[in-house]
Amino acid sequence: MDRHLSLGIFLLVFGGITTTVSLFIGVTPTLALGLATLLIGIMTLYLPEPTESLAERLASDSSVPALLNIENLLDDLSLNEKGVYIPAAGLEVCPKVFVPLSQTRLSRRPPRDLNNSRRVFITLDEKTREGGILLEAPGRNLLSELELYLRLDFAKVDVNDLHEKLESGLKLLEVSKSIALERQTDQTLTFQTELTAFGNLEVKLSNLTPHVFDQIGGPVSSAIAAAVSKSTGEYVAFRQVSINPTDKKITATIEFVR
Amino acid sequence: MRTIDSFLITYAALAFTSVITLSLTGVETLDVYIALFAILFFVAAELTPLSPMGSRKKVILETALVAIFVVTVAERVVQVLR
Repeated sequence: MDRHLSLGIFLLVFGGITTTVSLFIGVTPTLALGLATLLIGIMTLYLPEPTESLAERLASDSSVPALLNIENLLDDLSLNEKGVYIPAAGLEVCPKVFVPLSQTRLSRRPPRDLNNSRRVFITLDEKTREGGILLEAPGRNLLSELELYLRLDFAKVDVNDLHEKLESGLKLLEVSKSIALERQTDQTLTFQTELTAFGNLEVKLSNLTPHVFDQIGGPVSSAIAAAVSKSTGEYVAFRQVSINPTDKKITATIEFVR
Repeated sequence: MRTIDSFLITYAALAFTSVITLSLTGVETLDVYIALFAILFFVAAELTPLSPMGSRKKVILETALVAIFVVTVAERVVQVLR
């Protein structure tokens, strides 16, 4: 139980009993003591925010300008296609995201060795000038932390165990309360997760950087997509991703690009 | 320590100190204690400001305490005027 909750309940009960007894015996100082305890109990239960601390929020908010730059880049280059997560393997290795200029057979499944590239502007075919931009996944570091805490490489995780591993990892890092992962068809997989951390950041990103959020995903959805790509060894892209600002629940559909 | 914890400790220290002090000075009227509890909330909030995240809830609590303070003082003013 949350320490504020347990302390608040204790103070409420103690204050309530002291106030009631004092009312009967008619002693004002103890009555005041009971009321003070009652008031502090109410404050202890009411005031604390269950979400991240200010320092945590500032730390996560510091990533917003970087994603705003990507948003401007996508906008400026009129890149409207979904980003494709290129499957990767290895502990703490995160798939990179390729956002193509246009959807072609080649750009839908760019070469896997692009994961080793440090270039941003990629030309896949010199003749047709087919290409796009290659980005680090917004959830790169979150995926690395997940792998470090779980001490496993998602590329070695069986698809059937992916849900369990993701749920335990995200809970361990206090990122989300739970995750529902369901493979709907052979082509798609949906997930829903209620965030405990990153919730405000994800909502902010969905408003400030709608292209990034929709085409590549926010940190959490991106980390999950990257984990799916690693585990299945498939190219994946978001078909749809959204967040409910009230309960901070992310719902997304991932498409396997074949 | 989180700002909310510092605030609660400060407020509790102020409230309990005032209860002990007032009881030692022989104050027997409850409205004095209640008015002081309201004032002490603002003192504690000034000493240990709450984070911006908690400010909305703080405003609601401040409004409630100001209302209690005004009612307590008004009641006493009416008593004096009668």
